[in-house]
Amino acid sequence: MTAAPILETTDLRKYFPITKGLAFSRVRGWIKAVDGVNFDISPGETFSLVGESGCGKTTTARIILRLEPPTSGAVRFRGQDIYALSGEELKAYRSSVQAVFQDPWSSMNPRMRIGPMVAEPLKYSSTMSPGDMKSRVAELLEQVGLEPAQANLYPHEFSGGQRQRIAVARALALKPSLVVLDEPVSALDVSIRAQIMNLLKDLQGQYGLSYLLIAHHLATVRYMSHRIAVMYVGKIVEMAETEELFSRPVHPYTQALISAALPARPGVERAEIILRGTVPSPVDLPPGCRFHPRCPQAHVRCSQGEPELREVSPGHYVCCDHC
Amino acid sequence: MTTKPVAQGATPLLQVDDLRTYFFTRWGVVKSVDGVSFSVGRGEIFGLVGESGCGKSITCLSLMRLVPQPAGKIVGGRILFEGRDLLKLGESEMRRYRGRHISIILQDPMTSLNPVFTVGDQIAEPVRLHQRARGRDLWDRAASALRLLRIPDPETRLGDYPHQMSGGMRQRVVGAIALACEPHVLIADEATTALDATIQAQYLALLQEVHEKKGLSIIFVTHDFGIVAKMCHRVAVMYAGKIVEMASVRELFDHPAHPYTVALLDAVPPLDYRVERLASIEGQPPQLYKLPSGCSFSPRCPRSDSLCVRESPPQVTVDGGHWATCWRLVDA
Ligand SMILES: Nc1ncnc2c1ncn2[C@@H]1O[C@H](COP(=O)(O)OP(=O)(O)OP(=O)(O)O)[C@@H](O)[C@H]1O
Ligand SMILES: Nc1ncnc2c1ncn2[C@@H]1O[C@H](COP(=O)(O)OP(=O)(O)OP(=O)(O)O)[C@@H](O)[C@H]1O
Ligand code: SF4
Ligand SMILES: [Mg+2]
Ligand SMILES: [Mg+2]
Repeated sequence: MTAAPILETTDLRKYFPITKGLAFSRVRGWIKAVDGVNFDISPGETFSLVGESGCGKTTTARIILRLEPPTSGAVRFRGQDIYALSGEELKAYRSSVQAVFQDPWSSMNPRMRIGPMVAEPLKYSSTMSPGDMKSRVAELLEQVGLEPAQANLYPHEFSGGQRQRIAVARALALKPSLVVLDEPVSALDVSIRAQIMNLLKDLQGQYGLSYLLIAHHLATVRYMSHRIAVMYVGKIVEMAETEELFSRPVHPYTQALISAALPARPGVERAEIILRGTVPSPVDLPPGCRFHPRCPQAHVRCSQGEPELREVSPGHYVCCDHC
Repeated sequence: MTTKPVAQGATPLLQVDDLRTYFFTRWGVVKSVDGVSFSVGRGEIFGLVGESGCGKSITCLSLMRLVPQPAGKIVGGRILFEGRDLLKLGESEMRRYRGRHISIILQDPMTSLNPVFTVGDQIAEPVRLHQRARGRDLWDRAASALRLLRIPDPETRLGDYPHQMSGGMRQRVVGAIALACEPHVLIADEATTALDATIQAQYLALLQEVHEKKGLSIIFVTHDFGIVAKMCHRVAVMYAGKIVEMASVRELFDHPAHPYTVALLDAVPPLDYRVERLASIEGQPPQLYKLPSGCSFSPRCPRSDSLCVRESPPQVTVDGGHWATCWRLVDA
């Protein structure tokens, strides 16, 4: 894709302080949750982040959503630094970028009925009459497989998966141009998961939506994504187009990750690459390549210089000097 | 393959008979669990799959007698644990079963973690209560529970509040709490959905190990057929509050008999190749307070005929322990 990116991150970092003691305490160290992340997303593209639990995917998403300022680095949306926006521009950004989170329960007000909750973002665009708003909510609920009549229910009256569909409906309300999807379908059964993924793809086709997808289920990621970045403890270690990544994973971590995915049927044997050693803490990073203590292909030099992302074939980047 | 047949003892560890859990709402009676029966043998790993909203979590909460109050109520059935009906126990007796004999990993980690306590306190609490550990020993046990679930730097992490952890770490904390008291039955409700493939594999291997060494029985509620295939011995498929098919795992994958099961398996995205479009089941799942007449799946079923719409289908034995409730089984 050659169009100018809709979103771009440059050397994004987020360090959380580790403190000890009472309120004005001493900082004992830093959790390097995101540690120099660069990527861009094109219009109409689904770009995915995968990687070990705790490697900084959600933190990256939260920075992009302006929920968490970065420690350093920048996020540009259509060329503009999002942390420099204010007034109308900020309002426009907030309606063009929407999110669906991992844990639908935590993003819902338990005392609010589903209808007003889905309609909430519509209030930003004040042009809608109450009647229009109601029919738009009905349409959105139907799109995600719920009944318009359910607009009168409260969140606790739905199952986990049903709540996730409500979150998708709300995110789509304003016809945004970028949607951040953090584990959007992991709480859904496979049939509704297929429905929602197909729906997301259709909306992308119709409106040229871009998605930043975060998901652990690799078959889901393969089905949805155009490009994928693999993260390991705060950094991107490999980035490539989907089919390239699945058919020719280069980084030893990516290889291990793909090998550990469960085949969906019994009796299918896959050679799993077992990673030994402990998961490094984002506080005390190992010297050199941060993966080297667990890397099955580690070399003596891997504990010395820290590797940089380099292009191994067109559009395929790997952060390893030895593979 | 790790799945192996399990010897079914004379009395199952857990036997659920005709369980009914309803919610009494202003819309009507929501029959979330409507005549569910199954048993779990000692050391058996049992899978529960099915449509989102079909009653899997409410079934699990019923087993723990933790159905949301006041709307929800267990209105019928028996839950026999080692022959004793848990539904007949007083609340204080039931409390002794929870955590110690039967433990649950809830689907939404944030609802089972208290935001104002550190994760260390929350892991230590059941251990203190049931195993009378104290002080340093208690803390060490909490740290090793986290270490077992591959959380880096567990000693420091014990001091974290839930919001300081990533989604997958929180989910593992809930798992650590559930395993801390070495229960006989573990109910894992979507316990690994927030984990990446390598950590999930290690988590499952840990459960497998506890299962083998301590004879832990597990009920896996999951949407991930990969987990069912890897871990479970038998599996039940639920639709609209009822079990519609039960079989050994191999049977279910090789010869699914219920049209819903067939459709569900067809919607699984493949890992090893790319598809342009996934199959999904037409139509919407029914509202549990106004179920269609006859078979609940009939409005969406490609095989349904006038009989299906008119009358509830019978339970038909396919082969040995494999049965399905359907008028027009898919022949395998
Ligand atoms: N508010 C916070 N305070 C302190 N540490 C935090 C905070 N938020 C996140 N972290 C830490 O930052 C790291 C990255 O967390 P993040 O939630 O981004 O991971 P993730 O990749 O989304 O993981 P998962 O796949 O488990 O959801 C973790 O070590 C986490 O504990
Ligand atoms: N507090 C409640 N009040 C009314 N209805 C409820 C309540 N809790 C659950 N239900 C209903 O009970 C049904 C079963 O819910 P349950 O959470 O068991 O579904 P599930 O099979 O676990 O779905 P998922 O796979 O999405 O987690 C749902 O249709 C839900 O709407
Ligand atoms: S009973 Fe009829 S409608 Fe129900 S699943 Fe079987 S064929 Fe389909
Ligand atoms: Mg996350
Ligand atoms: Mg559930």
